[in-house]
Amino acid sequence: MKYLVLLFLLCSIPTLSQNSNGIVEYKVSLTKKDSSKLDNMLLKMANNLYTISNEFEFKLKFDKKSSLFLLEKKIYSDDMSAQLAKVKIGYRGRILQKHGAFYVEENSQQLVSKKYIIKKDTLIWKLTKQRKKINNFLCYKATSIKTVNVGKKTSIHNIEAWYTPEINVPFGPSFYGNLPGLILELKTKDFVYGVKKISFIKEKELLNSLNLKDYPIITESEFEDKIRSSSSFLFED
Amino acid sequence: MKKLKKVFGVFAVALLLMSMSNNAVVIKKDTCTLLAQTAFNYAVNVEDADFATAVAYANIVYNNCNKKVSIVAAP
Repeated sequence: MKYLVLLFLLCSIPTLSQNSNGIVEYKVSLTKKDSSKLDNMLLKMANNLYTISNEFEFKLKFDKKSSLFLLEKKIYSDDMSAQLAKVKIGYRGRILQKHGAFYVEENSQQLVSKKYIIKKDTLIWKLTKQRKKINNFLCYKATSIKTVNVGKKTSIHNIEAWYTPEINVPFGPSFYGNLPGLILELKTKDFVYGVKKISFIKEKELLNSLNLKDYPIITESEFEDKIRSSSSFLFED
Repeated sequence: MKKLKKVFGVFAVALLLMSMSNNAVVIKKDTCTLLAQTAFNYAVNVEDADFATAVAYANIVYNNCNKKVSIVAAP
């Protein structure tokens, strides 16, 4: 019996260590809003707004301590649709998750000419017992709310995540994470991330990481001030 | 004298056309700002987008509109 337990432990060690280094490929789909005035306006510029996301190749590379979320660089069949779809998804650059914090590389240059790294606030999750299987992994549902303030307007958005404790890392797509397991599905009012493929690898130095010393690190509100001054034409009468 | 009148006439018409085309560009540039502001307002007030997202939409709309204006204005 002792030997059996020992054998079981020996067999499970490689599996556990494998699960802490890996690459997750995510697909993303945009939520169609037929009655949206904004979408109707954007569709006149970008016919493939809703379908171009099929060409996106999102990857989450993770090890024990950190993760890096990125969109593979490629040429899209419709560049305008791709640009707008990225805005809808909220992707403007690589995202590093480290020690529970998110660092977003702002390099789209659609907003400001200089590059910055934005330190994002983390969400507070409510864990539920609701569960389902995704890619043969048992997943649990977690929910959260995100408060958005623009001027005097405040709006609340619901976020739904499905994470698996079977892959015990607190990472996920975009700037969502800090759950007791890897997020395999994430739903907001505008888009849904879903897992396509998970590969576990042995290399230790997996992340071609975002160097936090490369650009100034600022908060979201500091970044908003910078956008406001560089896009002042929007706020003139 | 007739020749001089003709030259002046052609010059005046050319000036008028130039000023008309300049006005057209100015009007279209204002239209681009208005379009961008509309996109920003839709994003914030209808779609509840955050500030950076709303500005990103507006900037893309503005740049796309300006590209079209510069194509129209090109000789």
